[in-house]
Amino acid sequence: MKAQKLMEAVETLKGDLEGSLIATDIWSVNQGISLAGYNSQPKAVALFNKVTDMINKTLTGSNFPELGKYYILDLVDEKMVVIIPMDEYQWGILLNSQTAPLGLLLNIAIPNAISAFEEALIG
Amino acid sequence: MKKVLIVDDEKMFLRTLCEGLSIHGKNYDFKIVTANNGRQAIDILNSTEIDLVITDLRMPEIDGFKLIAYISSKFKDLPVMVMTAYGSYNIEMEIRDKGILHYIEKPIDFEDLLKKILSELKAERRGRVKGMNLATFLQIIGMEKISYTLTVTRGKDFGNLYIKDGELIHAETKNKKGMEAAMDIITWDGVTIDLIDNCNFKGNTINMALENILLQAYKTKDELENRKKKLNKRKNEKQINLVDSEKINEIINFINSNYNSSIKSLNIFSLLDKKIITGWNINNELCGIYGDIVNNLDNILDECGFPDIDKYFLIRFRNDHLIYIFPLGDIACLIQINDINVPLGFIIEMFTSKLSNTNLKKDYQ
Amino acid sequence: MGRKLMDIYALVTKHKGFKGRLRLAVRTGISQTKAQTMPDSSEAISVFERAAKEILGPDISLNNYGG
Repeated sequence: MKAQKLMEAVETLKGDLEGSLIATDIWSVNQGISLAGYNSQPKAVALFNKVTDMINKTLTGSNFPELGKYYILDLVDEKMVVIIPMDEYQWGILLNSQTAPLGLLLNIAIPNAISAFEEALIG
Repeated sequence: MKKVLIVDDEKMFLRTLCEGLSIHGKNYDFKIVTANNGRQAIDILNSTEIDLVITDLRMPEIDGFKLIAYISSKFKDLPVMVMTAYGSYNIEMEIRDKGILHYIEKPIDFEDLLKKILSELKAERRGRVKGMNLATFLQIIGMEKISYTLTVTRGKDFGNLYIKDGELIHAETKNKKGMEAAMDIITWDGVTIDLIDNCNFKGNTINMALENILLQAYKTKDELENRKKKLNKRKNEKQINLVDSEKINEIINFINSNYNSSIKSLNIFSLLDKKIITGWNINNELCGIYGDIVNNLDNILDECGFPDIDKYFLIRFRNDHLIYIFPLGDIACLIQINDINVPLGFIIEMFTSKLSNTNLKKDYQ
Repeated sequence: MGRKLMDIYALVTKHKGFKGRLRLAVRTGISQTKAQTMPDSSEAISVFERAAKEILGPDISLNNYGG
């Protein structure tokens, strides 16, 4: 894993989402520690690590496939969270739901973020 | 006039304490009654109405622990404070917030003691901590590093706690053993405690410090209580939500006419029992699973002080199938979409605005 | 350019999600972005197919992944 490329992945996301991005973290699932981020939120990292685990356990416990792409939560206080499980890592994105362009987020920002993360993973 | 019973076998100390309290507390309206050991204290309790007991722990005849056990069974509402030389600041800070800690460190700071007495005497019966609960009792046994076997009874339930040199080494209830039993017993309310001197259990099934066990048990108890509160809140909501099938059909028709059967199923279901209220091509299994996920998610966000779900929760799976959930208080709308050609942004915007603006809920008369 | 490689990426993502996609990238050392721009050489296809088989397991066939 290349730390520099990981930071580039975060920068790509920041660039795509402009002012709508409140915070973001890429973390290791096993350790629950953020590897790269912007306005990093350690508590949110721990929280969503737990949430993803809960969702996966509930799904697989009922013989359903586990999370494959991402999940989105529309929260009160005009916030939106996107979590992208990526094998041993997860990417969490906290946005302003009022200003975040949803189409841009789903069709451009997330695919770009995944590609950038992939580059960082290969090194 | 309210009465405070102070129990200590050191007569000099008892006299100093009474004098100190009468000097510092001369303007306050309470009377001090004293006893030199647990036996005398029990006699006084059975003959006089006492409002607060402050006791030492190590005394001849009946010691402070046995006195507390007696009070826990005969005078459940009577508050007890313990004088100990082994205070632990950290655990005091952690547990005091929960309102269960009642101990006074020796040497006594008269002003602090007076403050604690007045606060206890002033507190309304309803609002204050009753007697001394098991967690506090165990905490004090831990501080004093002594060995006891406790039989704890709550109604028909009973369990044993084995404590050696202040550490919990084993616990058992009718059907649990070790840590699991300990976690269970520690959080029981309204218990009666019986004490046997010494710990008669050989071996060790628990390897965690007593104070950590106490904190862990209370954390788990808090979590369970939060869940119960939330569930009760939902149950107590006066409005029973019924769903307007016409509006639902309108939405289904709209989506199907625009996206040619992209919707695999649409379900309106109760988050309380996961039963489907209405829908189209309904899927019971899906509602059961996602009902659990939404409830658990709600609890996790709540426990961590994170903002609640507002409008929707959406999952995109590896095959591009989507699950879109729109919670509406105690019911939720779950839509299963299996067409990758449906623009996701449009789906979210369209469902969210349709569901938000449509009066899906009808007031139950 | 890289059409077959992209098809393998699509198949793995369809069955195993982002997790599968990232595993494919790590095993082949070629990201999806790079696969898009490189030619479908028989050597690259063979590496991709081998990696995809490992990720997808025996239950999912690689036949006609482009179709």
